Amino acid sequence: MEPPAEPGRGTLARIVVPASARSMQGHRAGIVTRLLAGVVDSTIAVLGVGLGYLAVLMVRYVLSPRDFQFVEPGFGLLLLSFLWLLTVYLTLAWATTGRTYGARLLGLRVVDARGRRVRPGVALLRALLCVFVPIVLFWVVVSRENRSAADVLLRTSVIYDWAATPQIPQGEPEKGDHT
Amino acid sequence: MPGTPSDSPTLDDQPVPTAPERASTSDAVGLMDAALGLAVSAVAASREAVGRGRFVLRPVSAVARAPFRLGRRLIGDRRTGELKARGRSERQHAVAALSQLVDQLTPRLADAVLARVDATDLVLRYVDLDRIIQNVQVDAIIARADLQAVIDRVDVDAIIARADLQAAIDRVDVDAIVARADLQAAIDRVDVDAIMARADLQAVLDRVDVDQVVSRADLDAVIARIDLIRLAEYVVEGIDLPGIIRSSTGSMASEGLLEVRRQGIRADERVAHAVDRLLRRSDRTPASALEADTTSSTSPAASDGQPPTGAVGHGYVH
Repeated sequence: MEPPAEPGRGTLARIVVPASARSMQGHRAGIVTRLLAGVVDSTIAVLGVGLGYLAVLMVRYVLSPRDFQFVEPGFGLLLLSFLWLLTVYLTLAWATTGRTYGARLLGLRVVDARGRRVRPGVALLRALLCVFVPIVLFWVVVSRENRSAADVLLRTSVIYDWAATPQIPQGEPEKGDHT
Repeated sequence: MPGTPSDSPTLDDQPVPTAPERASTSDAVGLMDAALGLAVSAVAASREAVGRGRFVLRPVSAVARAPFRLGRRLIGDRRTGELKARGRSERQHAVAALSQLVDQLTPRLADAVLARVDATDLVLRYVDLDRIIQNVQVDAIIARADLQAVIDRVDVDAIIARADLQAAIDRVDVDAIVARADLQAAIDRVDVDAIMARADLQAVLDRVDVDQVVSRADLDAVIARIDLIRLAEYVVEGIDLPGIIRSSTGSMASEGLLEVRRQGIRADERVAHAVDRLLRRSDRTPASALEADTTSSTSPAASDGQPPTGAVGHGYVH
């Protein structure tokens, strides 16, 4: 299939996206939707940490039922686990489909400067910035292009893409791409 | 045609002399006639006298010739040669003088004659011009003529301006000319590409009533020739039908989720608008993810048949 000329504006978007929202497809998202998506993803990460904690407890119970006790992991360890899990989750999501679960709910997608899926290294750097320096997200508020500081540094964008437009694989240049 | 003798000019055509002139002329003619008659009589008398006295004078002449013969023998041919040379010189001198005199007199005489005679009339009367023309070699004359120089001196434009071209065209049998022409060869020499490059095809198309053309087309025959199955496969492949089904039937397509997304975009726009007003700057324009579009306000609404949006939040959810 011919790759879409622009993300969020392909044939699929014209068919499944409501007419009132088509004009916004492919445009950079604002702070509210991105924050909501971040909240959803953070919630997922929290749930993941909780599930991980439960998994650890279960393993400990299976290994030594008599000596089983609820461990107190401490806030630091939980926070570190949360940040690590969120980083991994964001990296995998952005490098594979360009969208996390929160982004799917809000109809968002992370793309590079050419509208393609971001590279794994870029996805990792972007996840580290967003997780450990979340303040970079709020540059969207003042940016005239709706770009966060991470977007500016890594030349990425978060766009509205309600139709889940198929993404161009990495390493496959678009027509007229000479870089 | 040559003229008859009766048509030739006569003395009667000359001007009539006056009475004294007529008397002097008749006297002179009579005097000349008398002199001529005297001379003729003298010659006749001398001939008769010679004839009668031949027998008498023959011995005398023989005696008289003797000294001449003797002198010729004594003197020899030298004297005779000198006399011949002198005579020849005198004769040549006389001939040269006479020739010079004729040269001087002939033009004057010719002028005098032609002044009294209508030469054109003479030619028309006595010369057979038709015979002369029949004997003229016209082809040879044309072969020697410089026709190109003649053509160069002809003002063709003036001739054409005076010519009745419409009448000439009406007399031309164009069908016969076209029937004999090798139109295929002419077409082969035409550069159709160059003609098409210069043609205003847009103007031609503007004059074509496409609706009428389509109404006359046999669409059923066209559809019958289409492989609809292959066309359907092509369309399904082009529109990503599985993606459509997935997007439209999954939980992501629920009305509640769409409303959440709408509200999210509306909130984005309101926040951006408020910040822009707080920073006292113009509203930000919709920004595409492509770098080439970041400085452009081009909206995809144009491709959707919708009016382009202005600032974010001013053209979306109402």
